[in-house]
Amino acid sequence: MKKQIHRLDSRYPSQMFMCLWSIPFFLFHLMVSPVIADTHIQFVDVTQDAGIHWTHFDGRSGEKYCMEMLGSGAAFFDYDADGDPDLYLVNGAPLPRNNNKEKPTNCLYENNGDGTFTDVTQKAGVGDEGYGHGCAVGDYDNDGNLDLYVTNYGTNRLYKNNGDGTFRDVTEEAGVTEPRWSTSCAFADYDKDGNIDLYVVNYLEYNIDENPWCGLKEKGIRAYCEPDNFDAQSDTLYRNNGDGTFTDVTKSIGIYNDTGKGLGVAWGDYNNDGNPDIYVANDSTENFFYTNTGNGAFTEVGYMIGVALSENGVAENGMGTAFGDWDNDGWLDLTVTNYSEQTNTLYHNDGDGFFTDATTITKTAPVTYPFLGWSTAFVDYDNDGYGDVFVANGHLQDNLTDLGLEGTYGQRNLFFKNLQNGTFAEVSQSLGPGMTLEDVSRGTTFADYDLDGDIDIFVTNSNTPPRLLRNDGGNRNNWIQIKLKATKSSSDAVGTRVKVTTGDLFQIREVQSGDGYLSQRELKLHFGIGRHNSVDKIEVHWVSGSIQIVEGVTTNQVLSLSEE
Amino acid sequence: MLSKLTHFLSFLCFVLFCIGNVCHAQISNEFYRRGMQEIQQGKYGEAIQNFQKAVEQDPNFAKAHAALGTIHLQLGNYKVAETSLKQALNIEPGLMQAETNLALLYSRTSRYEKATELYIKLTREHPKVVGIWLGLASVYQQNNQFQQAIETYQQSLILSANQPEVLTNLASCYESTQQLDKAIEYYKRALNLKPNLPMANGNLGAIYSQQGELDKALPLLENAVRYGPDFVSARYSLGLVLTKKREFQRAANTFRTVISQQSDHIGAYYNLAQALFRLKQVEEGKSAMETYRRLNRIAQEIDTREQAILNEPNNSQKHYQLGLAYEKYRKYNEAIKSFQMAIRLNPKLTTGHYKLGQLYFRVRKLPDSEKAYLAGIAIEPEQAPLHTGLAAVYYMQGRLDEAFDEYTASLKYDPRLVVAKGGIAAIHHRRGEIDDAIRTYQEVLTIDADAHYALNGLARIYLEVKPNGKYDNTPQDIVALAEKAVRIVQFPQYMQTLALAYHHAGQHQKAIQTINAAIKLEPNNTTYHQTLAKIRADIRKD
Repeated sequence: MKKQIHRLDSRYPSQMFMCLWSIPFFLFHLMVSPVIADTHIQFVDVTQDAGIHWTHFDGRSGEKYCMEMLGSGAAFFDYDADGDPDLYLVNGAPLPRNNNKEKPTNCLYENNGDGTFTDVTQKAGVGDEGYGHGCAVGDYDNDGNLDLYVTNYGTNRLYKNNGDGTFRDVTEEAGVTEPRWSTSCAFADYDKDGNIDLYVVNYLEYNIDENPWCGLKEKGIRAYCEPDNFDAQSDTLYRNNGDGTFTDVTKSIGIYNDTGKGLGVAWGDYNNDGNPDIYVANDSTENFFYTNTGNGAFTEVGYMIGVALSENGVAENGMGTAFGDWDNDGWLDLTVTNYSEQTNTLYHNDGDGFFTDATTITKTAPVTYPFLGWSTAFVDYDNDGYGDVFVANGHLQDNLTDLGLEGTYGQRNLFFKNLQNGTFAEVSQSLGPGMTLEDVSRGTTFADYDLDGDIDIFVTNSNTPPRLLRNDGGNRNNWIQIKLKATKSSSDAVGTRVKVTTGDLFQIREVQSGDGYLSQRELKLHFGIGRHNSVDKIEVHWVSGSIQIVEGVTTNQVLSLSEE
Repeated sequence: MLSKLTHFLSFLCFVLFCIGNVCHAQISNEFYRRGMQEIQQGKYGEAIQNFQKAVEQDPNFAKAHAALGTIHLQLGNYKVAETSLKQALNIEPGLMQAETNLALLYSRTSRYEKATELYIKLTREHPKVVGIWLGLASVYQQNNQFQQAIETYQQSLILSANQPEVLTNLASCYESTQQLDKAIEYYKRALNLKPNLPMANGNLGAIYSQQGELDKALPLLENAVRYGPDFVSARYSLGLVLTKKREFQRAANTFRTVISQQSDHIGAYYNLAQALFRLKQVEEGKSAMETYRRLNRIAQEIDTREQAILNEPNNSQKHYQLGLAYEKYRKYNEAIKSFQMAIRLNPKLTTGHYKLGQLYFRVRKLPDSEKAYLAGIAIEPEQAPLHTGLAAVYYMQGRLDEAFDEYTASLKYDPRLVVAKGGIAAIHHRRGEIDDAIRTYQEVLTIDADAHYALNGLARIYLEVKPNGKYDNTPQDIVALAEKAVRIVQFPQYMQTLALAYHHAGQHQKAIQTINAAIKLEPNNTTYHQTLAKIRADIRKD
């Protein structure tokens, strides 16, 4: 927004001094935060060495079809249950007038357990050729195997994991086709009936055959159209019937809303009532917050609790979102990424049903201003026990200069280190070569893929190869990973909350299916423990309501817990 | 002999001419002196009269022309000011007062290049005059040339250090160029010299607020609104800081004040609602939320239209559409600018001329309205609405014959245009042709029974004419007409008619209530106050 100038009138006759009242409320400043990161931690791009030779394909042809902007997501999940996270990548497809002869597909990489991956797409049968965007993982049929849902511009896909290294497309029979333009998706057991349900975010009412010409018409410079050019579509909530099928309950339980142009979604129990709530990041329209009433219905309260708009009441271009307790007070906070020249927003959960926009007081506002943010997550990269914030960036217009716009198409990603005092410092520049790359990033997924005790990052990039960024040195602090298997509810334990107490360090995490942007992080929970050598107490709050406590646990191990 | 006489006469004429000129000069100097005195006393009207007399006495009195120009500049009469200042410079090129004020005039009228050029010339000629450097700096600043502004402000500080306002402006320029440390340093220097500067307090507070330094921001913003109660954006920023500090009651009060100062402040409504929800005042919060949503819809529509123009700046239709959006939300000045631009890009855009005519009429710029309608008629002479609009202008100006002709022309091109017939009825009424007025209004109501202007017009006439057997409407008949008009449209002038009708019918309480409702809508309209006074006086008499 433009800086305003107010003028105090000059006085007669020759006093020409003019005083300008300037109001810098919407002016954010590019400040370089002091580098205070542990420089021993480095993120190294090991994509090629790890055997990942896949490239994202957006199907572009110069026609500037809107789906080209969105990119795609990825998921770390242990599809073969061998203990290491495998990697699923979603791809685009050729669009009209694109002359690509090969048919790009989604791709499944099996983790070989030695730091490398093998492409098993064909064998697994998950190489969808649709124009893909997002994915989420969960055991929808409760058979102990992690299944996969993929969103497309067009019919989505539900792949049932057969448990033998293969999947079966069960979309039609499960009733989750959702033929509209879907983006992010996420599983959670909202009605706590023991079966995970599915939330699918839908974006725009967009017909590829009626693609409008946007941009500088008089100069003939074409641009991707802004969402304002199209109507919104309501998201969809599918209730799991427990028999392998789903029912669309969007309208009957209070989710239907055709004013949101949704891109990101996250489930999280924000009010600690044991029921998962939903936050949806919408592009150029108010963000939604659906609070779970506990009786099988939802109420939209985004505006009232302070998470729908910017602090000036402006609907921003929400992209990705994530829940996480960044101040370790036992309440899930929230973050949303936005367009460039808007700041990403960091909300603090006040524990009284409201959120406070903490973007400025956490000192994250100025840094994010020039970047166009997509995926985001709370990740404790240095194992100090406090959630840091990762943001994937990249512009969506590939001809910014021609359009007379500022910024660059490729942008570096950001890492905000949690300073444990209510503020953050952006430290990406000190985190090694993998964090200084300027890509057109979109989705991200997180896992300790090399099983060395720190969280690694996988970033998808639009129309270019992705990056696997190995965390070297994050394991200098202690850690514990907790792998959960529920027995009285969905086996994947999605929605289970774990509280870890170590001395005066108290942390909570929830097993989350689908967050950030179009992506899915590994379901196994990772806790940094700092310098503590043991964990005093682990408290598991299963979705079924049962609570399990384990005390005096040794650090630096993967702890498997089965619901008792 | 003749030649000697001629010589003598010539000499005599010369002497008389000189004496006359000395007298004129003395008189004009006296007017000029008086004018200057009146300026010091803030009597601008009287000062203008004296300066005008001074130049009438001595048309070559450059300083008086300059003074006239300067005072008109102060009063915002830019056209007159420019003429006078240029006249002064024609007489006395390089007259500093005229040149500096002409530069200021260019700056005020956004002609930054001309202003810059003139200021630069002046800085060369008068390098020691601080005010000129400041004028130049402020032009740079207004034109977003912040680096040049910084250098120029620095130059003025060399000549005269420790000027808190200059330090503040300099800080603001540093802020605009993202040099926050410098900005903070200069705002602090300004505040050390003059702690009650609203701008320095407000801007420095806002910087700290954006940096998350709430404890530093709070006292500065409190100072800003204490010393500058009208500094709306500082007050808004104060509200945001209070919200973050969880002082919700104070925040709510602060946002309420912001709204009282700027009724369309979207952010204030949004944050007021948020604060009220926190205070569990849910219903009031929802009300603020609804207002926020309404204002936000307006802002979004205008934003969309403005965006469309960015993509196609030379598309007259886009400007026309933006004008319509502005008009819809009663931003008439902005709408006028948009329609002007649409016409500039497409002079044959009749609808643009029509809208311009309508808006000028609405803001009571009747000569401009007339011009706009005439321009439209020149392009499409058979467009009835253009004639109707023009007729209304003439009617308002008391040019009843021309108004009558225009209404007649509109009916010729569109006989269904009952509003034109209503206009003719009003003209009859104003001319005292009561029979014709009543007959015409009744014809209007035959075509459109809900023609509120005809209902109101008839009620007015019946209130004015005394019962004479010819017009035997009862007071209740008149009330019925006036009530119906108000039911259809709540124009304050219709309410005034209704109040008078109630009064006429002896329903005094209703009369007072109704005229008060009109006053509420238009508090500055003296005729409504007079009506109220008359009703009260009559009641007292009774």
